Amino acid sequence: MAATLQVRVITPERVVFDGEATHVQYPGEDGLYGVLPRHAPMITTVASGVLVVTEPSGNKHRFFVADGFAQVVGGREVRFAVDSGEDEAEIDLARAQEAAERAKERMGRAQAEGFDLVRAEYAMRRAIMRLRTKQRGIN
Amino acid sequence: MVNIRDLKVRIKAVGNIRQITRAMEMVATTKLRRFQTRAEASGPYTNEIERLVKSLAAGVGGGEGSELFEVREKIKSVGVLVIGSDRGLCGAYNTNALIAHRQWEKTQAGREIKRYVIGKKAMGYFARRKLEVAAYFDDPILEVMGYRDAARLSDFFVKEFVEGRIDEMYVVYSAFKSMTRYVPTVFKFLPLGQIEAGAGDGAEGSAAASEQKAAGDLLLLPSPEVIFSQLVPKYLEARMFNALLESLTSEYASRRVSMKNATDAASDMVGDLKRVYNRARQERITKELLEIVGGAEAVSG
Repeated sequence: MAATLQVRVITPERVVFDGEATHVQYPGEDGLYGVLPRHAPMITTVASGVLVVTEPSGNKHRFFVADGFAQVVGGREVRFAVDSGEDEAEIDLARAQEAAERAKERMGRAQAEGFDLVRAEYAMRRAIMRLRTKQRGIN
Repeated sequence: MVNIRDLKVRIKAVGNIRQITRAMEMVATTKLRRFQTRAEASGPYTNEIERLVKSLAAGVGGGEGSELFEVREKIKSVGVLVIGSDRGLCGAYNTNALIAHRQWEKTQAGREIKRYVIGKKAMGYFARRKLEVAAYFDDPILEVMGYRDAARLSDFFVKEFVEGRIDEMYVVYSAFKSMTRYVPTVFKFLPLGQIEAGAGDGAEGSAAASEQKAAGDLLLLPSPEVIFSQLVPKYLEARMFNALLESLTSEYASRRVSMKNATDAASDMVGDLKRVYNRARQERITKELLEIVGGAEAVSG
């Protein structure tokens, strides 16, 4: 049996996932990262996007993650400390859609009415990524 | 002689109060459990962030986050966030936090103090004493604050600090030690003291140390500076979130105890009143009997 990774996805509210994997793919700030067992020790930032955990059974588990850090320890453990993390099944499509529209509207009015443009953009990105996680679009 | 009807009314009134306090005790117990679970659930995240900060602190000194570590030479104004409750009937919870605040304030002689307040009760205290409050955070209320709200709060103070409106920042909160022990605590939020790399005791310390040893070939992407500059605010956010959750847990623990005491006191009172009532009733019956006997004797005699 090939080596596996111990993956933990941790948010301030709870531990979202704790299990074995043969491969992990997640969104870094400068592109997608892929981690296999025996990866070198590493710490990176995590942007908002889709985290794909390939379990030993070959089953691909998808999560939405946003803003945080990933740490590879000893080539056998990957820990995510992220602001938000949700299992694909938990994502509320309607809510994400609503959030996307609200963010869009705020971005439009940002200049005129002093809404925080950066915050609106982040909200927008989070909403879009939630939708992507759910709809199994582009990774 | 005691008025029997008045006694009856009082017994009923105290009994009603007992029902209310018992219900409040039960509500507090449920909420306490909920907040305690939340506080525990945030533990792994806080540990993780702390571990990251520690394993990075040694390797990266400079970077953008470093001004948050800098101790300023002249401290003109200090900020303090006081976390109180929105509702009363929670024993000495607010009083204790405010005493801690007052004692802290005594150590800040000669400095301008900017007070930031959470909780209606704490706000009321400052208003009564006519002490100026720089900002009162009541939206959202403490009870429904999530991590994002804590993060926003933390970022607000970071901004105040970075832009020079405050030179130091403190937080007064109630640390939750156990169901019966909650300690009002003041801690320095900003600037961050030196975070010792690999510090701490026992397994945690040695784990951090061994991670540190490997730091030579530790990949840091996109760059150590970027990671550090993002990690430090997260660290502060996590601390803020933790302070809010612990205060909330303490509040409900305190409320539960005080409501339990109130219920017990009401029970005692009902017991005492019942005894007085029964004696008074017995006395009246005896007196009436004597009167009847006396009257009968007078007639027959």
